Amino acid sequence: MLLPYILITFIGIGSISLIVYVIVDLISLKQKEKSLQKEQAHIDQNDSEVITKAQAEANDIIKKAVQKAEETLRESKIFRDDLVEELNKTIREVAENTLNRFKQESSIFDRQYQQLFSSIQEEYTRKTKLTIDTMQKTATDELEDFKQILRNETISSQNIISTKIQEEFNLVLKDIQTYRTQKIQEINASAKDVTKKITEDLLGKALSLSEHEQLITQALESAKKEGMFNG
Amino acid sequence: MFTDIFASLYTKQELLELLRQLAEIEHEFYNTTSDITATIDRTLDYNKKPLITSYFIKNNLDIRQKKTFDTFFTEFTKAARLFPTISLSLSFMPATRTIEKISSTLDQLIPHHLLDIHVDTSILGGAIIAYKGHYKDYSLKKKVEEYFAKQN
Repeated sequence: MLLPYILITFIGIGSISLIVYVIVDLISLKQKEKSLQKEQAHIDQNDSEVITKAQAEANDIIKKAVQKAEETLRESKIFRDDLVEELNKTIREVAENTLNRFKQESSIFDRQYQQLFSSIQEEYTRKTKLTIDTMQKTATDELEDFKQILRNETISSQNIISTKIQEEFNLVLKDIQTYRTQKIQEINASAKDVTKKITEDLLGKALSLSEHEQLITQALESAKKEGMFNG
Repeated sequence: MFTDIFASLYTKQELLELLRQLAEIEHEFYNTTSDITATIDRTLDYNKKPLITSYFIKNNLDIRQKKTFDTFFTEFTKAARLFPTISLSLSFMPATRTIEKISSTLDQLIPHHLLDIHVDTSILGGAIIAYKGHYKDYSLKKKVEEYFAKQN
């Protein structure tokens, strides 16, 4: 009988112990949280200070860098202006020297060129004159040859043309004669046709009845003489 | 046999006309109401009728009898086919008197004949004669052509 009470007691004691333990643990945890919150606040404060300090240092560095850059820039501008001035000066000197030298060389070249040109011109004139003379002589010779050939050819052509004209003339004469004969034959034939037609018309109309009868009788007698009615 | 009848015919055209008239009379024999004597009087030419009737009388035949008339018609047609016919091409159609003259001339050459006359004005005159397969051109046109042919 005691066992259940003992068990209940143990269980009760255990439960109470457990509850106490939990509560103690909760309290301990709460204290740790507060401690952590304090540390966090402390750290946050330190961070803020560090950042502020870093910003101040950064600003200082930037400011110095800008000053330095501006100073460098000013120095470089001055240097560049000097450099440009120097360069321009050098270029002018080189150009003047070059120009002077070119003028000198050009003058020499010009003289040489003039000499060369004159000699070439003289040579060319001489050769041209020679060529023209040769051409003129050749042309004259060829012209003379041509004249002679032309004279010969003209005489020959005249003979050929004369013969050809005679041949053509003979052909034309022959054609005309043929045409004339043909036309005369045609005219004669036409005349005969016309005469024949007129004769026929006149005969047909001019014959009297007795003449027609006579012709028919003659025809029958001729037929008899020729033996047409025999047998 | 039909000498008198053929003697009255000068041309083939006259013969054909007579045959047509005889055929018309023969046809009338089939008409029972027809008066055959009146038909003969009306149909035959005036110069042929006496010759036809004379033939029947001479031979003691009754022209009003169909059988007798048929026999006559048949025999006459046969004889006509055998009758000599001379073909003449003339430049004009001759009048009866001219035909009689021509026929009279021919009678001396061929006693019994018929003329088969054709008109061809292009022959101008004369005649082209054809007889029993023979052909002769005695036209004026041919003479003119021969004359002009000789001139060439």
